[in-house]
Amino acid sequence: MKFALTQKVATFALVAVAVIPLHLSEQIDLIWTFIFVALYGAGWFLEPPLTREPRLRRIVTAIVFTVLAIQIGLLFAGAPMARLGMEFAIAILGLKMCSRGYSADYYQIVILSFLHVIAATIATDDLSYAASFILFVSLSPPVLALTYLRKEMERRFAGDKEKDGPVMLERLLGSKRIISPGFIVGSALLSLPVFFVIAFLFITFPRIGFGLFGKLPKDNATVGFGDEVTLSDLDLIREDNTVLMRMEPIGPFKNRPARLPIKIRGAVFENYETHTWTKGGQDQSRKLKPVGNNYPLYKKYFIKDKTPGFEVLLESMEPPLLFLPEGTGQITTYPEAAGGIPKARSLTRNSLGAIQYTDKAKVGLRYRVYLTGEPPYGPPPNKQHTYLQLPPNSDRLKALTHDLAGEGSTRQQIVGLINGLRNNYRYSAKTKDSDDNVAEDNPLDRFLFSRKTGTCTHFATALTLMLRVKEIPSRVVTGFGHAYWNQIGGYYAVLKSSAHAWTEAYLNGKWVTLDATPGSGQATTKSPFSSISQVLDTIRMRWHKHVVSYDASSQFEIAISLREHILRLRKHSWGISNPYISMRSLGISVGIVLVIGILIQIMRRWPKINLALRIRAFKRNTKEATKLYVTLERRLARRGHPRPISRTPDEHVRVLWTENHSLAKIAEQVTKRYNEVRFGSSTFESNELERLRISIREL
Amino acid sequence: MKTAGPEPPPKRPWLTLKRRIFPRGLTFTREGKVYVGVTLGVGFGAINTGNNLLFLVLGLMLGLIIVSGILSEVSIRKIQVSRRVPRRVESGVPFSVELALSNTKRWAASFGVELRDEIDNTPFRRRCFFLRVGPNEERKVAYRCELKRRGKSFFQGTIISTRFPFGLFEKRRFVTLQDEIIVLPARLEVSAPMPFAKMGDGAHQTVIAGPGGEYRELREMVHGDDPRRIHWRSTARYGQPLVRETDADAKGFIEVVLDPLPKGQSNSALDEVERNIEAAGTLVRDLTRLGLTVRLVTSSTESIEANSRLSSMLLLEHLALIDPLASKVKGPPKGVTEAAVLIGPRAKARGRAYRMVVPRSRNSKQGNGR
Repeated sequence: MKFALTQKVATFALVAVAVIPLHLSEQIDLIWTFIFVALYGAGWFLEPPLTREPRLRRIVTAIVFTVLAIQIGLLFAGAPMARLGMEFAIAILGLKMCSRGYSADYYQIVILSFLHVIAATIATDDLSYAASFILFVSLSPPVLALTYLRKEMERRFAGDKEKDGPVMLERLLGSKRIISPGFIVGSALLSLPVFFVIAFLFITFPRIGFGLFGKLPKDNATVGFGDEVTLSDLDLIREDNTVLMRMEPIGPFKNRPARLPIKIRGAVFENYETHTWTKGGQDQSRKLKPVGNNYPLYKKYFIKDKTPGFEVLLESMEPPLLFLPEGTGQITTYPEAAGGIPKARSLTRNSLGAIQYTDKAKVGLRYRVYLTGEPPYGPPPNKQHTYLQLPPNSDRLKALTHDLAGEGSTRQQIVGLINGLRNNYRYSAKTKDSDDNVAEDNPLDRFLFSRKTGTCTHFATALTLMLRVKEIPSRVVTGFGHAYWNQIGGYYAVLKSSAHAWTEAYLNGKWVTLDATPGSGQATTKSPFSSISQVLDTIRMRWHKHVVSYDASSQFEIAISLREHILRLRKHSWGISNPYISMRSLGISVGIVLVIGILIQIMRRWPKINLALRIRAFKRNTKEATKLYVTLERRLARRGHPRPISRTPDEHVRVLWTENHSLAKIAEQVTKRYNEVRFGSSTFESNELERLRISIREL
Repeated sequence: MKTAGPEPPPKRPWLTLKRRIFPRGLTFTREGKVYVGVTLGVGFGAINTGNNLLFLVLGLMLGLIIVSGILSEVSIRKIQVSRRVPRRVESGVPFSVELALSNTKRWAASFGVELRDEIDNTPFRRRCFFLRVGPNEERKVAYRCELKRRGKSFFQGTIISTRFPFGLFEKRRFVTLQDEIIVLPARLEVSAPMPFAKMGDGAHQTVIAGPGGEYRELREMVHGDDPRRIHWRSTARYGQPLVRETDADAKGFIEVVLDPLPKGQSNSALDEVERNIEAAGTLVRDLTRLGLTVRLVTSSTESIEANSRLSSMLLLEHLALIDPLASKVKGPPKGVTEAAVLIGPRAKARGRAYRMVVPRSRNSKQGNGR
């Protein structure tokens, strides 16, 4: 592929990957998405030399300043700055795509793409970001490498007009020989070490979190869990199969049915007016008192490994309610980093027993719940509560209540009411009655006396009010009715479509859960999860658990498990059970590491060291050999046989032999060794030098 | 010998020490500065908010920096550079410098490598770029260099640099590779005093060897000798080729008396001396080309003689290495023969002489002009 085309394709792919999560985050108006797509499409067809035209570039600059002026105006009009900044970045990137002429433009596009990826971090944390990020990491090295090559070409040729530089540049850009598939693959493989660095930094970098700036508010208000709920509110999310929370079983859980009937409690309502449940006028929040990171809901505080429970990963939603499965006795949260210090989460409960948390980071919450079989949480009713309040004109309701409850004990009457509702009325999730929202109408009467078909909210409302007719304090609770087992991920997924409403009655000094909805509590319904959905949701769960919700406590956990692993290894390998490392063993370890390091350095530099040693030995031997021969010459001179300058040592030995001199033998030995050591590669053996010196001395 | 020329290159001992201890350097490109700025911003944002996704982006940006650092290091490691330069060059006249780059790595290629010579402690403006040098491959490149400062110029070494792989940073490695060049004085637009030169025609016996007719000696034949000059009889006698060396035919003799002492310490005074030296150099070149024997007298103690283009290089080298500030102690120059060209106010001659007026330069030269 031609160089210019390869670079264009890679850059456009990088930009697409960078902008997609931002546009999917719903933080950006659709009009900006359309504008960007239009500019992106136009940019594909606009090519140099048109894009290098000064007129076009001036127009682009003018548009940029115009958009900037508009955004500043909107800022003063009260629009959020972060959103305006994102829109401005989108405009610049789109315009830059249309006016890319030089390598500098490509660099700016890459930097702007980085800024989009950064902006997306405060706009979304969905799986789309994860996919986009992985692709971005894979694409950024080749795109940067190609941009670099283009810049080098431009540096060399673009300005050299005397030697046809621009022509050469165009020829190079159109060349198919510069970029091979191997180059693309090789540069893409650079992302592997980048991934390693990302993982290392992500895991080890301490999470401090000064919290000077927050995240953008998410538009994730979930109906049915706010300050009020109408009888048809839960119908709005009945078709929504978005996973709101995931529950990983901990402790002994034997049966894991595909559909787990479990009531997961969220919001509590006590005041009913015509068609709407509200929390009442006494909604005063109080902070729950923690013991460390544990929040015991009752006086009994426990930590038992064998207690069953769930590790819950709750998506961020509005209001930030804590959902508790029925039987929850204790909540354990993970600390959040605030101002550089891990701090316990702040949980509050209202007077009805609903629990909320603070969610500054807008990433949801990870917590554990321990199921001890406790009754639903909440203070006992008092005079300030309206647990016995009935709507006006409830004569027909009272008559029906007495009719269904019959005579007998309180328990028998409650059973009668539940059975009466279950047997005489039909549940339909598709009950659509827009009139239910009309304030003047009485949707409950329509459900009980004419239509006789309703949703869980209708059944819960009917039972609650009937119990109040019987002067039993009661209230309506919204939450989720069941969870679906994700076989691949090994957790229960709670969908928004599992939203449910039921009744809580105060009987014998405690709150009791009652559910009159027909069909609730059955465990046979097939899971709406397909295999692909399960895989995707598992990935999403892992992403949220291990990346989005990773915090100081997770780092602490990793450190603890690493320490335990090391201790186990020490125990198994060396039999050391003492968890503390002594100074002696630490010193030995450091010493071993140092010795290994030094050995590695020596091995690396061994050729140079060896050569230096050999040269040194050679010089030393040469010096010794010369000294030895000089000593010999002095001795010979003293004995009347000096070596003339014009005679070589070998010649001198031959002369000595010719004269049959008595010193010829020792002179020959010394001369031979002198020549070998001085001019050859031979060295003196041990004691050889000393032996020869003694021989000369004895002459 | 002290380096000649109006502005000697500054010495930088700290740089030398730093290069000896850590011969690496790093600068940011314009894009690199923006990139690092964004990275710092992301780092601050990540630490401040504790947003894990920002930590991912921070990891990506730091990862790219680390990968860039490793690959650029791989690119400039195990690279050997050799250089070929002429021994003498003329001031202001371009000459070519040949650089050979060999990648001694076994497996890895080097990408985007730039070579840049450091001359007189200043990196030369021209860079030699190699897009790719394969493993165990040697590539050669030549560039045109131009030196303006008369005297000795030193090539201290070569800076090997690369912006590979992303163009965000430029990593440099300094390789000591020393060469010395003598920059001869520049040529001036002055004409030789021809009528004056004829006055000394035949009046002087030369001591310089050259293509004349007078026998001088026999010597061993060396590469470049004309085979017609082989003395066959002696060659046969000694068993190796011997050639006849003759004295050069001197067409005439002229003495150039140059006063290199400046009138003061000002730039204009030094510039005037430079012009005088350049004028003397021009005369030496022109007169020797005409076949004249030239004697150059630069002080009471220094004189040197040449009668061919080859031997005139000795005179030009002498001129190149004159230090005007050190010439005060040597005494004023004085010509000893009848024919002399006097350059400078203190230049004198025993006999007849011609005082040459050297035109003033329009602009003073600053530095080496590279």
